[in-house]
Amino acid sequence: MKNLFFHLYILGTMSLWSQGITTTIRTSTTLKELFTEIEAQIDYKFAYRNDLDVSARYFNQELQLDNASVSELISELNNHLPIHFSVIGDNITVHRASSSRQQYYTYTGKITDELGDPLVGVSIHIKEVNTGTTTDENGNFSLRLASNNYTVRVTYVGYRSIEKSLKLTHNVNHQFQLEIDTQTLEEVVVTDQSRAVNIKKPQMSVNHLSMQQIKQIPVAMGEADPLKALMTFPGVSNAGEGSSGFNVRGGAADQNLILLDGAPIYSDSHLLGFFSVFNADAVNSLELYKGGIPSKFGGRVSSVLDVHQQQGNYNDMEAAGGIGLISSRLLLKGPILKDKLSYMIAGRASYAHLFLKLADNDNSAMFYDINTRLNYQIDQNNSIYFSGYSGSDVFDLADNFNTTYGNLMGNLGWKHTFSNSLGSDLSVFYSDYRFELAINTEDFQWKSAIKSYGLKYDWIHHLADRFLLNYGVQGTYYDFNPGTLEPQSSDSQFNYRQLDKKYAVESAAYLDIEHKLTDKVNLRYGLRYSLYYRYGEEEILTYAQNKPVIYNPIYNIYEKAEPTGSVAYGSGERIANFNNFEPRISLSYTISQKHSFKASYNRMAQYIHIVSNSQSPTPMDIWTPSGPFIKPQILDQYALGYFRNFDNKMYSLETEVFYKKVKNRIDYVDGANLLANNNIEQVLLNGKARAYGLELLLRKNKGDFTGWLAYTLSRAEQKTVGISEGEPGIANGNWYVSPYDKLHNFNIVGNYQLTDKWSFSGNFSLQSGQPITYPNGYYEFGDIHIPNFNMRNENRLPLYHHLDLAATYTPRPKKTSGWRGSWVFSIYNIYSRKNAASIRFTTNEDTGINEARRLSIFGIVPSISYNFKF
Amino acid sequence: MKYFFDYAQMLFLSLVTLIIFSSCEDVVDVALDTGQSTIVIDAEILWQSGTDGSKQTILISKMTDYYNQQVPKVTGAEVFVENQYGQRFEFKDIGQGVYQCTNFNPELDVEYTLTVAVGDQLYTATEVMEPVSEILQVVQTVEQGFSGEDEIEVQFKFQDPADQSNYYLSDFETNILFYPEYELTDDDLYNGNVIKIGFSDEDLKIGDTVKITHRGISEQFYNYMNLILETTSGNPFATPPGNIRGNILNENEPGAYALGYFRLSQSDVATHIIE
Repeated sequence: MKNLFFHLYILGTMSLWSQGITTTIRTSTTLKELFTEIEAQIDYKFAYRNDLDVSARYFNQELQLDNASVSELISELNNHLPIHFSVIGDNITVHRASSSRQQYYTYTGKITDELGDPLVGVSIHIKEVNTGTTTDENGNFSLRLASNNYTVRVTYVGYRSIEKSLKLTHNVNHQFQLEIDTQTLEEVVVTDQSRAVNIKKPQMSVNHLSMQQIKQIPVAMGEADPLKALMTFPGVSNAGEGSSGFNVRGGAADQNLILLDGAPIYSDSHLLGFFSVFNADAVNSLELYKGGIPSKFGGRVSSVLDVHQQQGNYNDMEAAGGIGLISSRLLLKGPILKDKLSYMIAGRASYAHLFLKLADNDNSAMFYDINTRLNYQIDQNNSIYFSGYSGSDVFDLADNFNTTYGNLMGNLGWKHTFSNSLGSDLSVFYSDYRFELAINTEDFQWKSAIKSYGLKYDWIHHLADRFLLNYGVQGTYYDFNPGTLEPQSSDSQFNYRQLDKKYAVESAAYLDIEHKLTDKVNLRYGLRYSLYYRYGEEEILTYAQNKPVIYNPIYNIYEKAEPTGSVAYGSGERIANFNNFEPRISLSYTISQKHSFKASYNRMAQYIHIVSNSQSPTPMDIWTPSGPFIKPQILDQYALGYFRNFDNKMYSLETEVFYKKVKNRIDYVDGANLLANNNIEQVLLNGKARAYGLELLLRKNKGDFTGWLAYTLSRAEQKTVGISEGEPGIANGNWYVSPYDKLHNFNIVGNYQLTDKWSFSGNFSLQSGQPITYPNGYYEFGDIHIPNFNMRNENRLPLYHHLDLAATYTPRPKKTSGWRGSWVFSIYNIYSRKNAASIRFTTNEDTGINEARRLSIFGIVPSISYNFKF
Repeated sequence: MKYFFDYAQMLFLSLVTLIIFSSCEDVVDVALDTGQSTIVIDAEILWQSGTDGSKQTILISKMTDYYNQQVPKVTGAEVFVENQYGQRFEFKDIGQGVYQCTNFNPELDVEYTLTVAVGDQLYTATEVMEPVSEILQVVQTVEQGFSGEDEIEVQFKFQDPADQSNYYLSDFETNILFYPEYELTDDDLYNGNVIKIGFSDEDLKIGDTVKITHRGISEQFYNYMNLILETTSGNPFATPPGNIRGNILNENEPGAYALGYFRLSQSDVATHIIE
């Protein structure tokens, strides 16, 4: 009894401490009356099934309670009534005690799609007893089962499967919302830790992460980060600490398509790469497609990062948030009109003047994000949604250097179900990235932007059991401002300049077929046809032989060609156009329930590019559209994999090899002026890129200890031969390693649930250093020392490694409502490794001696954050 | 303009170190290869306004190991410059790789050809002497630097001619820095304006001397110097240009070129004492 009492204390809310129950129960009291009276005094609700007759009088003697605790109440009730009471969460469940040893209960539920529409014919399978049922036309199901622990599996073609554990010690009702799975049929996990690999689905080369997993990975400064989490998986890396962007299978950062609820986002990081633009609270899950990319996606050649925001809640108001060393977050979701209109809004802001203020000056640096989602359920077959995102960085240094940059995105869509087998999603979006910079002492302001307006119409069609069709059309209109330079006063030394604005339309139609050929062979194949137009108004320079860059053989250098004239294109007049057929195919061959082989091929085209001379993206980077001098990048990728689950899915193994090649990867000539250059074609050379590698992912999916081990062995190279015979191109026209080449990349992530209250996680990362060019000597010129660099990217920075640990403490783990908090304590780089972000070769300005200087970003970084829900 | 954007990028990078307390830069030992000991010809003909420009020097040395404290000097070379009218100016070997001429005749917009014979190799280079716009004014201001400390800035102004593309190379020599600080300017975004070029250093203090040398240069030399300064700018995240070729050709073996550059500039000099 004492023990029970103690447990109830732990379970209880604060109200349990302050509230006592005082009542007198007479023999005339009905259960209903008792419940009403007690519910008025405490925060608990009585929960019971309809077959319990609450208007009956069960008491055979009078009962007096004076300031009793909940546990005392329950114990008294259980002693006096032929009914069993127990506390589950904030409920006191009530059911008739049964005398038989083997008890049977009913398991009921309703299955709907994301918008709350009932789904018909969904399969519910109870693994342990190999039985099941399907939902009726209202999406309801009912099963009668012996009291036991079960695993329920809910599957429906075209939707993500759900596995949930079921503890049937009373009648249970579960509500399932299935997520439409137009892209991948990768499993998503609701409650348990089952992340076993899907053996049968042809989709390969995908990394899926739920927010729960992301929040478990320790990161510098304790700010849970979806992008940093992705880098613990094979095939994903970046240029190191404090750098923006990410590289997938040896691809450049501008070759990643980043989608937030289906609309593109052009920049992925805040504070120069320390944090991603994805607020971990606002994101529900994400998938990164590294290969075998379905034909629904296109426009970038390296990867697709598909991020899904949290949905609103049609029934109850919920809130979540956190306070960290860097930022605070708050998320609210709930109904505006119950069962009709729901919202989600999330905000995150760093503390303004963050660390800079501490340095005792006027500098400030901050960022913020706002994420929103609205869902409106019109009727059974129609719903409308809106997704929005706005995020910016603001720097203000010494009242002199001011810069603001960020993304703005809005996406409005209409989902319509024609029949059980045909659904559609029509959406329009706007997305932009803007950069502004002002330097007061220089009296000028600089602005650049990419704006895009898009339309998508996607269809899902269940043709037969064996066929699922996805098809649709997409179109995006781009408006590029490569730069506006405005003098801020009349005595500014700058002249006003507007670089030529550029306009383009990228459109595509696609068909994607998921086809179950036999029990063992599953296919997914499709075709994307993309069509791109570059439009005026713009004046395009012309060059002799159409060559904007010429090679000077005397001095062995590349020079700008002298334009021979120009052509003025009127508004809406076509300047250039391209089109590409992009076939995609993937297949799986299931050897047995435990293991399979998968293979895929995809071709993709990319029409807009970033040319940058730094190793990772900077906020100033400018998107450049394909046109008369810049051809679209074309990728061909092949991948082959072996997938296996062990030990009843306790462990899973994913291994893949890939080879990819990219045509028309642009490179720049040495010393090129890439910003504020109105004729950027004069400094670009056309090259190609290739990458190949091996990826291993071994996971432990279940139990108190979960985690994964990832290893990538890969090579990324570029080759730029000149325009004509005998030219050196870049690196003498030989293959040279790309700046983002990482030969070895090894990660271990582990999470250990010690008790309900304490869990621990760790991350160890070991990588080859980044490619770098070392000097092979120096010489004196103009009284300064000039290091002489030989072959591009021939050397490497020292090995990169760090170990990070985190502990999460949840004071009241069993609470299911009210205020629930948890603390995260983390230490990044626990042994304070000074990883080189770069090594530069420079002359000491005091001693005049040449030296190599290593820049390291993070030493040991301890941090603490508090997260809450209510 | 390019220089200016590099500056902006550098600002972003220095923010990294401001945001993150633990970031630091330290000197490390890196084992480096030894390249060829290529000949380096540093031939600058500088005609300071108000002088006759008759005294000129050319330096010849070799590339060496990165960690060597001295570059090897080349003596015993035969060096002369010829103008487009066939007038020849001899540069005498005065030791330590220095070659001196005392009767040079500088003329604006005239083409000159340098000839250097070292051992059995013959090197040549051709350039035109470029004019410069005179320094109008030198001003001293105080700016707040990133660290929050006030920094003294020395700025000079000149009038850019509107009817042409101009390229400038300026340097600031001080008693506090070991090496001159170069600034490269093209008038792409400033054409026809009064252009300001500044220099600041946190160690500048009252009484320090700043000597400003402002030159007009050719577009080709501008491009070369741009690469040279990129290797030394210290942008830690940019790929440095490799094997920078100047305008010096090897007449015997075209592949075995010499490093360095032959350039001719009119210059204006101003000296400012910090007050």
